[in-house]
Amino acid sequence: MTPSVVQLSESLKNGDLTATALLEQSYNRIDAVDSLVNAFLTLEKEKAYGQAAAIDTQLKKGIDLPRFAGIPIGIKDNINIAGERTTCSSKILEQFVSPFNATVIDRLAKESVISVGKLNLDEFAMGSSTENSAFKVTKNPWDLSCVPGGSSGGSAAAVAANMVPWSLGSDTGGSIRQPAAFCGVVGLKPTYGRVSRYGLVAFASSLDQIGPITRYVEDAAALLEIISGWDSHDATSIRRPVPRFLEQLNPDINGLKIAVPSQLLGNAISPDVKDMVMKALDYYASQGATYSEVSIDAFDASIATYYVIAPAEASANLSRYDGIRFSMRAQQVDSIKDCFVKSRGEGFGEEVKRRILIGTFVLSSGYYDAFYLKAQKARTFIKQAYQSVFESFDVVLSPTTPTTAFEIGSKLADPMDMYMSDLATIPANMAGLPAISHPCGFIDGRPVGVQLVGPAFDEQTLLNMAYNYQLSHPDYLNTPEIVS
Amino acid sequence: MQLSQKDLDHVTKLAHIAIKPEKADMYLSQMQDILNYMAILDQMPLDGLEPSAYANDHSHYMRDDQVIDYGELNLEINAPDWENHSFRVPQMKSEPSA
Repeated sequence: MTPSVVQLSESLKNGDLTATALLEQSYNRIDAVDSLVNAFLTLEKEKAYGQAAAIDTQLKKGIDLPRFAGIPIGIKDNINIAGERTTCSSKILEQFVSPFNATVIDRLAKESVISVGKLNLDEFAMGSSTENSAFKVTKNPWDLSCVPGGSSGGSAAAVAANMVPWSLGSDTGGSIRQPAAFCGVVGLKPTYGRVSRYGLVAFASSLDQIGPITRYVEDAAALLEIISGWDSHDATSIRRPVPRFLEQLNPDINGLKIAVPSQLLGNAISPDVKDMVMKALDYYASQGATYSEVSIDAFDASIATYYVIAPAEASANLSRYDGIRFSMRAQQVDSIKDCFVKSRGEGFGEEVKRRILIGTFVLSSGYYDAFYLKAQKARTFIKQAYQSVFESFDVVLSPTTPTTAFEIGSKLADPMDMYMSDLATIPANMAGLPAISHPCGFIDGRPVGVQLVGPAFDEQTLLNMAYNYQLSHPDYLNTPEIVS
Repeated sequence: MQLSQKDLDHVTKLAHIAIKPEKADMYLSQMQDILNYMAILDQMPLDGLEPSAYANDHSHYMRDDQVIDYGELNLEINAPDWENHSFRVPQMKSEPSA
């Protein structure tokens, strides 16, 4: 079985493995399977091998290094690394070289974790399938005819295919959890404010969060611990201590109270996914948790709320791409306004344009109150609904996705159909709550994920539950056989 | 509400985005579907609720108003057109008439 990051770090410390050999394993695997999966956009081999050699030298000398020194990681390509391209899978940023590190990258560097390269995503993290990348379509390692989910599809596929033991993604409406579910790995969206967004290219600033995608729950705990904490560069990061998530991992879930929203078990959820999730629920009950079905009417408003607020914020955030400062300008322009209009027209893909247009519309004169203000009130409605549930329960459990991974191309022509993939994940973003997706089985060879949502800053309970589940279901830790 | 071609023209102008004429019907129809779906918000009991700009209620940290040196910003590398330490941009004004 593939070792966890925690196990790999022990092998590095006791000399059974070198950082260079581990990095070589990672690049060899990428060379072997990524021509089929298409997870990576760029690789930084020379830089990574240099870092690995330096770590090996220090380990040989007996120098005490951070616990996870030498572990390779993949980074979603909307997170800035100084001196490397950050494309957001968009033509408009195709040649953009970042001048600075995101705070999460600085924190990984402090731990001597080695970035192997940048991972594919839906353009500017807008999408649920990674088909919106301007450069390539990532495939699901469990079934290459299917999408890996999105927008962090590259991050989830790379971990599932064992190209890297862990990766970073970002989640605005489910973009960590949905691909984690489709690819059979663990994905955690932290509480809004837990992790600094500095250096994450902004999509919808009030919703975006960076988080871990891993094979093992304990690795998600470790990576969350590394990247969390207040940051003066992000005005929305929260000043509070970071728990020792890994050290405090405890599979005892006896007495936990689980709420199961009826809205996320209805007709929109495929019956076989629902059956699989109910089995997971029964397992949790066998471990001493109790559960009750609850009705959370506010969830009916979540997708509409999201597709007002997120595009509105995106339309403002993406106004900076003007053909003047960032890498790409249309060729034939005869005025500065023409430069803006044509560069944005040529540089953005269809989904990004659609969201900018929707966002611009809902913020425009005459429609602000009817759409944007109403959506902001609906966000309050959703937040209050969760607060009410957490007065009586510890966790909200649901399927992560309504179906298993769908076939490539099957939803591209109908954006509303695609948006419905995020039915179960969006509510947690609207309320800024932590949420995890962990594997709970397979249907016709495609993974199914179960989602756990907790009160703000209680990632530990979610990790503990997922850890308990993992200990009893080691078969879900397998790596898919990848054949064309 | 029913979107028209005029609405699409207005919003593309506001957003400074060119769309191909052959794609206009597609955008119009998809935006219409999305806006129709948003009508679900009208059925929600939102009267009396305060709007939330953010998910959490924490006050946001404010930085001191001071200049910080961020070092090399790669402006020259990333600019589509760079000259004499400046972004070179297309003509802003039309030539004055004679």
